[in-house]
Amino acid sequence: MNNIVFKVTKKYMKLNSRRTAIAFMGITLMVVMMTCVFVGKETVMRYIDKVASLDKGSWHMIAYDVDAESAKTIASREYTEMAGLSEQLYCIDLPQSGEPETVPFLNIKAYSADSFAMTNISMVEGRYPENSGEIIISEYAVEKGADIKIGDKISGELFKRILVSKLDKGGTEFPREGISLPAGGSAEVPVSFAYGEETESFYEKKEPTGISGDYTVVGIMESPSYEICGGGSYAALTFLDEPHTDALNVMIRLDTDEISGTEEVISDIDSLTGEGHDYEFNNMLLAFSAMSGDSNINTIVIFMEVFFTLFTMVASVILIYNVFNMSFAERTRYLGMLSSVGATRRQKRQSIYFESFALLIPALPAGLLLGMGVVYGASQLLKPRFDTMLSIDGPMISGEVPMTLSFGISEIVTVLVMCAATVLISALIPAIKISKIPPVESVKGAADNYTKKKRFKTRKSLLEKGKPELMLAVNSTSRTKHLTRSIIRSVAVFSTLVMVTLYGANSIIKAVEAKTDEDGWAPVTEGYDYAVIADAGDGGFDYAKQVLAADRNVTDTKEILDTFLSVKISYDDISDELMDAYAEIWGQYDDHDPADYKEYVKETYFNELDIYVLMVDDEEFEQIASKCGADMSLAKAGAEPAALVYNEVFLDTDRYRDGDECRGYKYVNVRDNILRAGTGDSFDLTYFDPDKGESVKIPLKAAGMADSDSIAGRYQIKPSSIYIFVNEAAKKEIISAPNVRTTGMILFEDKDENSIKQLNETFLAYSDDENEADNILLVGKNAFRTAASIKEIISDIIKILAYSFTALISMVCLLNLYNSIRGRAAERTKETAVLRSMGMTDKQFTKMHDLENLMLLGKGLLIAAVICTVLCAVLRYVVVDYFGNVRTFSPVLTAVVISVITALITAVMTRLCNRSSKDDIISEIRKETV
Amino acid sequence: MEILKVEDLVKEYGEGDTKVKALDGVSFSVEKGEFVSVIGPSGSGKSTLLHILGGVDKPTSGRVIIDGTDICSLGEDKLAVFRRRQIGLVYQFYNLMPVLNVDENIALPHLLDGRKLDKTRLDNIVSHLGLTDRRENLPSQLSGGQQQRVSIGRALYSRPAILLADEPTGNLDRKTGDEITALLKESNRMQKQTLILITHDERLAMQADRVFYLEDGRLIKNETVRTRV
Repeated sequence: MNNIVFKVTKKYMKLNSRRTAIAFMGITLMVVMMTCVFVGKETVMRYIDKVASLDKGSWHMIAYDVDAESAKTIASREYTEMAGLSEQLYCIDLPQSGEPETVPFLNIKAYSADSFAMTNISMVEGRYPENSGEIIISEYAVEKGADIKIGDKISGELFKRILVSKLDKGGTEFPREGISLPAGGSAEVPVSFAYGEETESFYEKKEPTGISGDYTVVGIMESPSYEICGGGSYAALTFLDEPHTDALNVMIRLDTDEISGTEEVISDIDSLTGEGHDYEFNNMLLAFSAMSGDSNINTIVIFMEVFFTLFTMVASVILIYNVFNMSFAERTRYLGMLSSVGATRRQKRQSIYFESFALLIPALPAGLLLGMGVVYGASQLLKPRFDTMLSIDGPMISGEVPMTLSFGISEIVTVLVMCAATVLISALIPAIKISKIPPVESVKGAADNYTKKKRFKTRKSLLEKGKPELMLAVNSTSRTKHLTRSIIRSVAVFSTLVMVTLYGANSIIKAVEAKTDEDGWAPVTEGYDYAVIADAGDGGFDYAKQVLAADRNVTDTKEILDTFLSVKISYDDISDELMDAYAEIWGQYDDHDPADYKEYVKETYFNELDIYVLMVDDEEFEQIASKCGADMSLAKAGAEPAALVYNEVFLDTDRYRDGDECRGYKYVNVRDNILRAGTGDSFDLTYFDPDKGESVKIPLKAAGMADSDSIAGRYQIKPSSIYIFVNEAAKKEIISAPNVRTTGMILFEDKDENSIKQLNETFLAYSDDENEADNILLVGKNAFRTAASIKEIISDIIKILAYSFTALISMVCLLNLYNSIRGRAAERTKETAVLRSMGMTDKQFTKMHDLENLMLLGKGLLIAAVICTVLCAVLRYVVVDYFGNVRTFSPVLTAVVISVITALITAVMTRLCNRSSKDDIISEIRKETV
Repeated sequence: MEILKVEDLVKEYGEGDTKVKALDGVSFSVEKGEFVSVIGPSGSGKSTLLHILGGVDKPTSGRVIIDGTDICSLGEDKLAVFRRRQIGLVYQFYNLMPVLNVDENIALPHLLDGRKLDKTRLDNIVSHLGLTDRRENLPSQLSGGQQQRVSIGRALYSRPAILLADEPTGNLDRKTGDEITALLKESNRMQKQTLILITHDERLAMQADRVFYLEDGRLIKNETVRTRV
């Protein structure tokens, strides 16, 4: 190393090994976090991609009926990562069929090599076809008795199945499957159409395609996802050498870096070949590949990626900047010395950059490896969760897909670039600052006090009242800004990042919960083992009650009735807030104007809104009422018809669909003001009386507002509609109303297995005997639990990711805080020694440090409060914009907890960093400079 | 009246082969209001002696009795209180608090003792030290001589039993050094302030009432230069 500036810098780095080590750890942690963000995201998305591909394959879309020339153009487009061709060759006779009467054909498709690569064709035996003379046949054919094996030959003319009308005149026939068969005409038969069906009006014939097939069977494949049982043919695939026709299908895997949705591709293909193509989409894969506009996961992943990257950068910039700033005074001395012997400003700046990159270069491989280790470990821990989540609603068995570390050059380059940029940004200001210090100030060592301020007013009140600890604390926090600023900054950054990360994570979790939440109500089944559910209007419910009442093993029964759809409430009775919420959601569809909503509901829904009515017995009604502070004179047993209105309704575009085109997801949560009627006021339920031919009112008194606390332990409600609880008087009127259907549920406890079996048989027998609508269903209490599981799993994964990231960010911030406190303590060792030599006691030191901490914390937390408010508001705006008006947690309590934690950590660190031995006094006070 | 008594003071550093005796059986006493200088070559144990007298270091053996109190037997906190009440220290490199201005630095030990500021005394000291127009400056904004004056002011403010000065002019030019010496002598003569000055400047040492010669940790000569009046 010939550069003397670099040499000197290196020596100082060695000399200050602890500070260098902290900076190195900080930079390494930054690389770890960047690696976690980018490699972690890629690993998870690739895994999900693989799992999603298990269903249909790794293609995103198929464009049907494309000519060969256009197919080539599509394959060469930038948005195309891979394009495979396929061609429908139609049917060939299968003399070996085990079902010759009903399934006598093979339906053959020709796939190019890329198409085979993109589809999930699993071989039971043999191999993929490698030329147009080879064929593989569905295992389904063999299972159905086809006498066929590898090496057999299948030859013949290929043909289309055509339906021909026998009628000379008359209208159009619609034999099924959407076929339109005009009298005297013909129509192509879809694959799913059963063979051998001939009626008086049509018959089936073969129409040769002009292609001859001469195939050797080279494999048996698992039944492909497109194979339709019940049609006239089994699936078969051959290799596509040369297309026979100009009606090809292009299977496309999109380059997700180049394109963000399928609309652009469709528009491009339409512009190439004209409109009118059919397209098929692999929706699951599109959603998980960030290609679907309606995907929660895409938005959340992108949101988290941007959020975590930004926060990693901010935390790292502050840490590295602080490290440089802490050593500012010392650095100015040696750089001043160098500058006095001719070092230029550029060389002084280079010193800072040299130190930054000297630390970054070893930190990069270390951080990358460590980060990959963290990602791998976390992925293995989370895999069971992912498996459950991804296999919950489909045929996928994700357990078979290993979750391996996935990353490419682009991820590594991104990590490197982001880290280098972060370090460069961190070093920029100290480098500029240090190069501006005149050499004379540097040599004098006065750079740390390089200030234009000439006078430092005596704080008379402190001096005269004899408060030395306070005087020292106030002056040291206000007069050594280069040292205190770093602590204030660290406190502000620590509390801000932890707070905002928690707020952001919580917002994402709430958004996911809002999107995935199952709406509806469920009883809390604790204390009950089973439930009987029956239609309350048809005798089944009464029968079930009698049976349970007669069974000695049945104890602790609880009866609840509910009704929905057949009972309404007038829109005039709902609050303005709820009306606005409905209008806002309705306004998301088509070209609806929310201002027109009132008119719309009058015209379309006769101004009536569906309402959920839960009918409970008077005792429970009274208990809920007393918990929610209702008017007990209205809620007591035997009172006139009364209701407790549940105080929340959430609406979103997923659940409230009223139009064809939704402009984007929206979520609105209305609380407290649900109905216009307050406690003691009246409102009406209505139902349609078919005998009278008009709506009939059931007047109710609002006894109060129920909330989640007052129903806790009894019910869980996720209210996407208005919910009310009514008493027995109201129940009587509702169940006796004509045309109102109510469902009854009896929860009960029964520990005797034989008794349960007996009950089940009794209810099944009743259901078999009675008409279809009057069933009695006996279910275990776990039947009420499944709804929450998807939400819980998604929330859990996001919680783990978000809180892990918060922990990592906290580590960087704590390192930063420690470094700042330690740096300040290190620069004050001589002061400490002098104060000791003057007779300052430990108690006085502690008091001084506590006062200093209080002031620094106050400033730091004040700054943090301002920044947090702004950032949380921005986050809130982004969350609302992306996910709708989800309810996030109140940040006040979290802010208080974080402030207390920050204060404790700062106090502990200060004590640790300011511990000095008696021996230090002598060596410190003999040092040359203060 | 005897204000300081040192009995058989030994200070050893290190162990075994590396053991060094910085002080080896030093004994002397100092009368109240006396000006004593300690002289000796580098490594003779001058500073070690001063640190032990100032209560910032402890001897391996022996006793230091200041105004009737054996400071070697005091615990940490009592010693700290004793230091701020009974001892004034002036260092070669001033050792002022960089965050405090002139007034605050001077008053600091007094305030640390929990006493209210004596504003008249502060004004007198500041004025006497010639620092009136620098009262609101930080140490870094003062010259070396001014800083040392602040240091003397700080040492004198609490009226300590003994003023210990460790090479107070060692970092100053001759003219400024002479001014500082004059200040110290003045405080000794006018206020009867006991002064122990450590120096290797024989010219300065000879201005004291008595001179102690230290060599290899031993007091080899105790010479009375002039008899106090």
